[in-house]
Amino acid sequence: MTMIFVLAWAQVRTYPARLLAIIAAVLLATGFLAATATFAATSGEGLRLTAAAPLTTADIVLDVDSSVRDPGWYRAVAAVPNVRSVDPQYARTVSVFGGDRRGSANVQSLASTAAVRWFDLDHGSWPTGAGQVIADQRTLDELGVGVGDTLTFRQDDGQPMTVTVTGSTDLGFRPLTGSSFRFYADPAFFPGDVPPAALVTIDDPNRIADTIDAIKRALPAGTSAMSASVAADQAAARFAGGNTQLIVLMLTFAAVALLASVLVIANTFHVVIVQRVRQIALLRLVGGHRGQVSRVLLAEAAITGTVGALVGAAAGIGVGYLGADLLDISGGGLRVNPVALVGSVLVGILATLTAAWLPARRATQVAPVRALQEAAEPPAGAVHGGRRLVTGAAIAVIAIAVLTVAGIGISLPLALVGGLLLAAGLLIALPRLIAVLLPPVARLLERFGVAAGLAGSSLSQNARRTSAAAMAVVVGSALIACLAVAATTGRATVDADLEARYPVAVSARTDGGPVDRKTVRALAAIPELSVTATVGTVDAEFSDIGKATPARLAALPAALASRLAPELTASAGPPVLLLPGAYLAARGLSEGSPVSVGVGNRTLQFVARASRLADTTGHLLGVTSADTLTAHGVTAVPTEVWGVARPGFDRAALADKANAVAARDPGVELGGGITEGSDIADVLAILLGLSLAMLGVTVIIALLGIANLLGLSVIERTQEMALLRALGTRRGRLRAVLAIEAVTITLVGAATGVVIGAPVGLVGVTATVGTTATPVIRLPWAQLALLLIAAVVTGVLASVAPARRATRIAPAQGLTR
Amino acid sequence: MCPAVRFPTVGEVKTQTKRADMVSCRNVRKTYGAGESAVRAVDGVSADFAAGEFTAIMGPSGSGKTTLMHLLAGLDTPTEGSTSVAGTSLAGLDDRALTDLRRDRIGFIFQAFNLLPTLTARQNITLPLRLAGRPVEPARLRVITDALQIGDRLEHRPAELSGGQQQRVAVARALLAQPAVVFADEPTGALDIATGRALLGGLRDAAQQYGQTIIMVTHDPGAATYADRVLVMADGRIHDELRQPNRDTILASLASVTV
Ligand SMILES: Nc1ncnc2c1ncn2[C@@H]1O[C@H](COP(=O)(O)OP(=O)(O)OP(=O)(O)O)[C@@H](O)[C@H]1O
Ligand SMILES: [Mg+2]
Repeated sequence: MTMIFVLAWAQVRTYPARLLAIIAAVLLATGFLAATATFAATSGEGLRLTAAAPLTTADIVLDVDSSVRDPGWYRAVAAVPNVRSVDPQYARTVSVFGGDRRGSANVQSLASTAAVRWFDLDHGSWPTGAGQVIADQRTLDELGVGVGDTLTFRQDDGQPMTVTVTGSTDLGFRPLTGSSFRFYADPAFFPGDVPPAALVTIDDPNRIADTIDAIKRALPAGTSAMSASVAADQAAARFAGGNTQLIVLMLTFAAVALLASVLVIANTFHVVIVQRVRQIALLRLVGGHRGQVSRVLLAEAAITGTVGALVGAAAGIGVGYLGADLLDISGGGLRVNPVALVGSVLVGILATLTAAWLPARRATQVAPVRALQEAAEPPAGAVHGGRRLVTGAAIAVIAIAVLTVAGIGISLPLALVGGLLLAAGLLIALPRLIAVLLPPVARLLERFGVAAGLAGSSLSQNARRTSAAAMAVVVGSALIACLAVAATTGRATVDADLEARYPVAVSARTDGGPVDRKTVRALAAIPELSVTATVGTVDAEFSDIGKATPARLAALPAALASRLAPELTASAGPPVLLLPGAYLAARGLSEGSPVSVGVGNRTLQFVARASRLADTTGHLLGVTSADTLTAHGVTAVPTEVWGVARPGFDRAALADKANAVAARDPGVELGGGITEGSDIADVLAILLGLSLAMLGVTVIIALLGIANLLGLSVIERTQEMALLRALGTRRGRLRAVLAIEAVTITLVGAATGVVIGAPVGLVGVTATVGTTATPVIRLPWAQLALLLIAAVVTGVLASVAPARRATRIAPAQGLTR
Repeated sequence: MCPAVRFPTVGEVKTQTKRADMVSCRNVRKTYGAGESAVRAVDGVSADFAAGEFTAIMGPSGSGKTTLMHLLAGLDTPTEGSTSVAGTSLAGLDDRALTDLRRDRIGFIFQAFNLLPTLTARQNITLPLRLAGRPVEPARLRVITDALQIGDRLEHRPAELSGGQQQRVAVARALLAQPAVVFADEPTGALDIATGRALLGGLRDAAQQYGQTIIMVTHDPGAATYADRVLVMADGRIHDELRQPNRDTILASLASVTV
């Protein structure tokens, strides 16, 4: 055993460069796994901490349900023996204005009892009156305000109030609130509110159970009490799923990186063995058993795999923590899950051993007598022939059938099964398929001159090796194409759906007064909007079927009506009123039914039409044309501004600009398409970003694999190249030969990957969003072009080192043996 | 002038009965290819190699020397006929048994590429023993390497040794495990005369002192004079056998087959 290790170690130490590709591949795969594990642990702890933090200072937590109406329900608890303090917990949601942005904010009460406050102030002082708040430093930074500055809060009742920021704290994490910002205020901020919870501290922690019982007896119905630690765990558990989606996504990437790595490692080992045929034969000659030969190689795999996996795990910890930090969920500090980490390292080592298994088996077939022979031609690998192609193709065809059914039937699980089957089938069939493709490619290359011809013949002569090197590129680019297509098509589908459902991209409305002229002008100046116009509204009463419903009518100016609702501009017949389809259905009205609406002291007669315009503008019930109202002598107040976006507009940019305008005008509230659908857009943006990250990983892996392959080809063709040089071939042409070989491999691989990945991405996204919207197919031409450009650049880069070696071959080497 | 290599006796020397045939073959044939293009590399050879005997195989290029040696060492299987080493017929042996036989009973020295480039000289010399899990006697290793004058080069890798030193490391490896048979294919081909002669002297001493059987293929009549006998091959057959050969008898025999 020790001799095996000595031999393996001697190899690793003597030719570290040959094994670099393996280390790098393992490093990437393990790094992905370790990063996922660290991200999961760190973000999990961060989320736990975030959820549980406000409860950490209390001993007992009291809760009420919505039936409790007494703002002082908690007071009785103060009299329970062993209770030291009782602090009601208030919360309100407000809109915050001022500074650079606006958004919703969650305001929470601070405990009056200092010991129950769960964080300390870093700057300023605690808030005391109703007009004072404090916030996390990050929140203040985002709003562009500091301690001492003022902000405007608008509460549910619509009354704006000015608050002063008296202090800031550094929580180290972003509280999970479901709203953009969070502030903390004195209980005086919440006059008359029923506190939904209260925090209790006790004197003797050993009597907590008795105390909880006593509290329960003292409290009115609809309340509950539990120990704070149990409550903290429950709160944390509610957030436990907060990072699951990301983790699943990361694991998918880790699996793909692992697969690509196994391919590169297997190919590298194959190359290493070819380079070492004589050494292996010598080992066999002096009495090394087949098992010993393969064990030496596996020991090398274990050594390189361990190095790669350990470095990868270390790098992964860093990346995983950074990822959690970037998402602001690393508040619990770096958390490492030792089991998952050891698991990642073991998986990395096992992957290396698995990848080395077949090449090691092949190495044992090297005959001892080869040590005595001059020429060391590569060991002939078993030819798996057509059976493999047929098996793989059959699986792929079944997979495509499943995917088609999934695409038509819109079933995500079926699409996943199909995708997995397809991957399996392609992995089996593709190497053979590429090998079959190479001779025609070689013939094609011959037309492009001597260098291309030489490259082509070399590729097709080593078809098996070439196709193995191309496979790593195929796997990576298939995934990139799949993700990019899914993201782009998903985006197009969601955008088209939002555009159809929300014809008005942006609306800004006041509570009743005219919209500030500055706001109107600023919105009109947003380049993403093609038409903006003020819309007048009036209070109206719909006097149908019994009781009158108070609502508002909007008067669409001609500029908008012609764009959004041509039916309003029809001059003949009675005026049209657009109503929500659901409203019509609920009242038993149909298209064209007459409706009468009371406006002020007049009653107007309309013909009803169902329209999304009335559906998606929130508080409005009816939309008609401004001309109609004017004709009836009704004056509408311009309380709203509506904007219609240009086709293909950038949703995020428009949302940003509209928000910036709204931040300067506390009088308006934003609505329209941009306030919807941002969750899906976020996920799709992450997908697109990850596909770019994957591009990086694929480029590195492919670079190493192909450089290795070419290096071997240079060694094998030393004589041929020397002869070429002796016959007057310039160095530049040798370089060109190798560059063309490499680029051919990467291009064939990338193109095959796109052909496979793009349809899978389409099916996947169709199966995902197809249930909610009509799929709009859009291909990410820019990303796909980038992929092909990256393929060419990778190929050229991969050929640099082998080319340097090739050009160092002296012409004389071809003349001597 | 290079001093002749002498091996002092270390400990107990395995004594083998002279005359016992260590290696033998009966009617071996080796045919490469089939039909029109078939080549009979070895065409019906029967020969015995006694324990402690030093045999040189000579003959024109392509006469089948290397092929015969490979057959005798079990590196290749004969198309017809049988071969045996130390009384064991090679015909029925599987790869594992053949490997053990090579490891424990046979040593090899060739013209070039004798050593694993990644291992030091010492590791190369002890490789067969360590592959077999057998202990290395440091004293014996020192005696052998000192006699071959490579005692101070043991921690170097082959790339740091001269051609002659590499060759002597291979000889040391072939002798350390005390294999019953040492096969050598043109071991002096890449060496200058003096170094070559020193190496041959070492081989002859190994045969005489330890009773090791040496079978050496060579083109050099001078080298062949170190052997106890010379087998001259031509067209895959043994054409002549010379006992206690000298330069003249060898040259005469070779001349008769080359014409
Ligand atoms: N693997 C093989 N396939 C086909 N023919 C072979 C093979 N090995 C040897 N031969 C042929 O067998 C014959 C004997 O070859 P061998 O190598 O034994 O000759 P040799 O006596 O060692 O020659 P040299 O002195 O040149 O080394 C030659 O004609 C050779 O071409
Ligand atoms: Mg020969």
